[in-house]
Amino acid sequence: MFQDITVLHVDDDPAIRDLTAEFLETVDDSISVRSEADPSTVPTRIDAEPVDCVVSDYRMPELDGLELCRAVRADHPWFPFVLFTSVRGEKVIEAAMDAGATDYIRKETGTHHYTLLANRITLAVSRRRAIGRLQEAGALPPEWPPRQLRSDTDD
Amino acid sequence: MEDDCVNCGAPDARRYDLTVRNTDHDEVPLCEQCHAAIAEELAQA
Repeated sequence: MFQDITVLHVDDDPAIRDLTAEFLETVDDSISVRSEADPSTVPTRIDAEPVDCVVSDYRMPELDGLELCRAVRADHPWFPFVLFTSVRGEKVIEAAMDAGATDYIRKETGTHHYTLLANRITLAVSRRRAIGRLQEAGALPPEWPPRQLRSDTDD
Repeated sequence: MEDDCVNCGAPDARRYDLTVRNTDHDEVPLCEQCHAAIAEELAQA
């Protein structure tokens, strides 16, 4: 059985916030979406609310998705973070991985990418929960995650 | 003035009014294909 998943979706466009919440919750009824327009509040919300995954747009006026990812990674090295953007190109994917993003989903024409996003969110959260269970059981080394698996900003 | 589609990033967006989750969003830049797909999904919801 899957546990319910709470997603914090970050986008400066109000229509996309509502569309993403509507389609994710329709595609997978175990997912509930909280929306946020201001990326600077996300690290605080992660600490204060029962959020399982952050889904973030890339281009935002004050703080872009990569900067937000690095801010989250500073205190949460394994927190599921998915970059969800229409920006194309290998450089963006490489930058997302360098920033420590868990996954990168490209927005496509139509609505099928919301199904892909829901699947990747479920995968990322399941993996994080499995790591958490191993940590609680003392089954991981004390220095975890290993240094080579951390993003550059953790060095 | 043309905008990029907010759903897929295509450059040929036009502005449409959308109601999502009981909220009216005016003049949302969408390409024709995304608008059609979104309108169909919202109609089924």
